Amino acid sequence: MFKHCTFVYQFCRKLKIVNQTATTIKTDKWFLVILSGLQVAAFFIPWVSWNGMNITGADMPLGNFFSISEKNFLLASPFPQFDFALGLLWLIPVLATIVLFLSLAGKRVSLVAAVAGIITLALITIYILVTNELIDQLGVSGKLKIGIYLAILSGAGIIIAGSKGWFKKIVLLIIGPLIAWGSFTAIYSHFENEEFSDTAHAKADYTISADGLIKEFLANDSAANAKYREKIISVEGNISAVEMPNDSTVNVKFVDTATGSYAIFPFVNEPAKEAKTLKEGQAVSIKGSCSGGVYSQILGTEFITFKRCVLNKK
Amino acid sequence: MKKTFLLSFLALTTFAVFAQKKTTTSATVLFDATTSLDKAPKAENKTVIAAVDTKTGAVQFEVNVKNFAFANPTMQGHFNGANWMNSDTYPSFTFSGMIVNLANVNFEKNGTYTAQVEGGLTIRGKEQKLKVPATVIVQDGTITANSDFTIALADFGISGNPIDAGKVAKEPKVSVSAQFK
Repeated sequence: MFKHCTFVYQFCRKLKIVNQTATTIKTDKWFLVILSGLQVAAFFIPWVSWNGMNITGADMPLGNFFSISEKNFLLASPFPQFDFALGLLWLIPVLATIVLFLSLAGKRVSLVAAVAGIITLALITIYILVTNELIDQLGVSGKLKIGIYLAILSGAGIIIAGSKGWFKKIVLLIIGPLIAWGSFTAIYSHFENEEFSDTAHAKADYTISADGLIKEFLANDSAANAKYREKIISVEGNISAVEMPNDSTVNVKFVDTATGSYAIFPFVNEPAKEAKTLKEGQAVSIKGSCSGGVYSQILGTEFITFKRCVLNKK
Repeated sequence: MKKTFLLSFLALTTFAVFAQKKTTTSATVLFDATTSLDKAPKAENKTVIAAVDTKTGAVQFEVNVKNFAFANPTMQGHFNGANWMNSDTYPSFTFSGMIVNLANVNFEKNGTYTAQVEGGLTIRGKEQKLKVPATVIVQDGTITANSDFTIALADFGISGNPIDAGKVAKEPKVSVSAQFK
């Protein structure tokens, strides 16, 4: 990063000199033309490499960035539901192209150049932070490639050449990386410390009788698994058995007497205290996250398991 | 009369043979792959099926992989994902083995015994031979068995950068507990 700063600093110094000459406008115009052209080109050549896999700037809006990190390093997109918004990053080459043509036409480009530069520098920051994360936390062999150096040069360059006043230039230069760094840090911290929400407050995806649930799994195991697995389900029925394998766990079972197949609901910690009072034959309503049904080779029956269970309040 | 006696004898014998096999649907398996870098890869499964035959010493376990409950949703997703346990394709862990020093364990008499259990552990469709010690406590007809051991993830074809980088233990600790009544 020190190399980048030195280069940008020298670049700025050079601009300061030409700004003081009579050829300022002409020089800035050609700087903008060259830098915006460079920005378009840099977007499509590798910015980083992870274990030898080259990732270009365009791989982010193409969706390849997070699909590669997830497939190879278990680092998925933090908000996959918003992946469509990554398409907005095509603004980088689009805006750079607009800057190029407006500059050639001698038009003002300060706003367009500033937006293109800010987005570019923000995206560069994300690439560097994610690559550092992969290197530090997962031992990936990560490297910055020529594309990211060219993107830094062009992104910073069009901000400097396209705007006036050093205070404004500095603000525009740091705002993108600052927002990107802040967002990345907040999101990373959120996912690292996230825990499952309390099932008691979760809305049930399905409500079904214990008998009906077991019969659905017996009728078509694959279809039932596809429907219920990792869903919050409320199950009602009369308890067949209460098992207490240890002081902090209570397992409640509903058994299909005809086949021996069963659904089992473990209560742990706080919910276990309440579940300890349950009795065989008692009618209850339980909410939990369904882990699906598996055929037991030992028992010769289907067993449907749940986790994070709570008793539904009446 | 002779026939009735023979049938009764057969029925009693059959019952006696079945009675030697004790099962539970509430055994527990704790999987702990935490390291100094990451405390998230740790989960417990409270609905494990286990069986022990007190006559022959046969021991079996069966686990629904998706019922390992993690505190962290992302880690639970990783655990079940294609690079780790691939639980969509391989929904169960199984263990099938024998108590090899059965003569040292008296299931009829109260006491604490150390059993050596040897058998095959199957994870992700790969079976590995395992020999682990287990503590068996017999108390008024209730048998409680506990065993702590480690497994090498590489033996089951589980590898990758998170393991190489020390985010996930190469040899997670596994604690098994089962109570048979």
